[in-house]
Amino acid sequence: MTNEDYNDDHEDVAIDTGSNTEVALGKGLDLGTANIAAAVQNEDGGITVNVERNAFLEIGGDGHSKTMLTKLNVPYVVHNGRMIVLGESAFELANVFGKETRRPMSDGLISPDEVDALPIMKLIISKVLGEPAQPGENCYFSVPAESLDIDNNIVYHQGLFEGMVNKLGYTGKAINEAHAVVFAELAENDFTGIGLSFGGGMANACVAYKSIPCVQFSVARGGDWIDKNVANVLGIQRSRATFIKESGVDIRDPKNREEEAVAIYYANLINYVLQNIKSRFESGSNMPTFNEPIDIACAGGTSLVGGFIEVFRDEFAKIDFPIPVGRIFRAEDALTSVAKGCLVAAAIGD
Amino acid sequence: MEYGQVRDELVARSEVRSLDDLEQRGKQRVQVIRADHIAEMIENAAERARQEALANSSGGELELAEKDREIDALRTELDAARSRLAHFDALFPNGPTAAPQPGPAPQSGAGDSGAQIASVVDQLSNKMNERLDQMSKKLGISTAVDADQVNLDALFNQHDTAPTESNLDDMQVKKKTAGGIASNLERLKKLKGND
Repeated sequence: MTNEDYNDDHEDVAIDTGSNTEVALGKGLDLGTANIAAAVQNEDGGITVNVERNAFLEIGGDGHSKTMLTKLNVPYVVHNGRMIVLGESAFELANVFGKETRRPMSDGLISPDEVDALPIMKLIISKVLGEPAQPGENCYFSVPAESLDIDNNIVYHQGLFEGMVNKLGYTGKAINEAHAVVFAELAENDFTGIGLSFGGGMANACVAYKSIPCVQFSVARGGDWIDKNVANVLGIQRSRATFIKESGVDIRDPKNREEEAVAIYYANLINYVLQNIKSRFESGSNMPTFNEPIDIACAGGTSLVGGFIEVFRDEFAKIDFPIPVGRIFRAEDALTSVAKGCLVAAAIGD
Repeated sequence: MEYGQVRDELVARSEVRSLDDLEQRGKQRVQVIRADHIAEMIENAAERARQEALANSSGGELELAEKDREIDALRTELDAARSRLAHFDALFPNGPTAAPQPGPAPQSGAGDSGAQIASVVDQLSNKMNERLDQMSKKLGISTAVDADQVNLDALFNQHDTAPTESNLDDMQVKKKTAGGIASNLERLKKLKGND
């Protein structure tokens, strides 16, 4: 069927609206303190998300080590004459050798204390993001909001990663990570409600009305805060605390002293976030009012722990929240939700 | 947007497919839309966006104007406090316990107490000015001249040229699949289309 086959006065253009989804250009990039994830649409209509842990570990090595690491599928790079293992493998090796991984980001932002942060992050991001489908392809990357409880400024962080993403051949644009959760999880609510991203370094919140962010803020507590406190209380390495936290614990029903510590700090974190959200609502001007109950969508790697949403609902019930809330739920895939939301923003070019 | 422009754009970005080709791809029916309807939709969407931007900016301008008035009122109060202090100094050049002078006294005759009060008021006024500046900055009003946006691209120059040995090209990253975003995009487009 061609344009010339129509007998109307104007030549019409046939648009295929069949079941196969057009793969839109654009990639979403979640720059998390703990994990980096890049999302892209695939031809099956779903999305593919590449995930890598945002950590590295310096090890001693020689030619034999390099061969062995490659055989074991352990990614390494030689930087300034030092052998550095990247990503999840760094975390596993650190646990084996009783060391701590080095982290390019801290508390949601690029770490000013980590001298190798920039080159390492560029390598990890380049690996998860891959080559752009075409030069200048949109890539929306997540950034946190400024914190209510510590003095931070995201201008440098945002500018840095915009430059980095542009250098990789994309057109980089920043989007608040909780706003990305709204894009990913609140489509059925016409993108109205509260998106919460519980990350490694921070918890971010975004109150949105029909996709427009009304309020965005963060608090400087996340999974790393839990790890640090659990490690202090139990007298263990932080990476060990992370391992315990990610080993299937259910915070509603801790089985031993270690899991109990994790459960205690999780409840404290959730309560802290909710109290700050409530305080922000009650104290600030320019806060929206909702006549109908709104939903709260939770996402982020820190929300993956067993029993998270049940404990969240319990803590929510203890406080007198100033706006009506309907459903409280966790994203179906909490780890990739922010990347998915960034992808939505990139695909629509908003 | 003119119909001709829309049509040219659509033709440039689309491809011709035969009926057989569509049938082979499992298409029994296709939906057809006229180019002039697309042009009309684009026109309406642009007008709605323009109206929305106007409405938002006028709302924001009203709020800023109100804050401006508040700041002006605070400055007026500060000036009034200063002039009252000057009058006090004139009346009590030797401090508050001394008898007031009948008329304005020279500034150089101010007593210790007057100087202390002046110092306190100066501290208060400095604090008030700092507070006003903070408020102004929060509202986006500043007497400072904005610098150009910082370009941090040069930070990566050395990392671009430094040789790096790695096995990353041979490594596979962990891949996860997740639900599609077609429905999210559809809703967003609908939201932006309906105001």
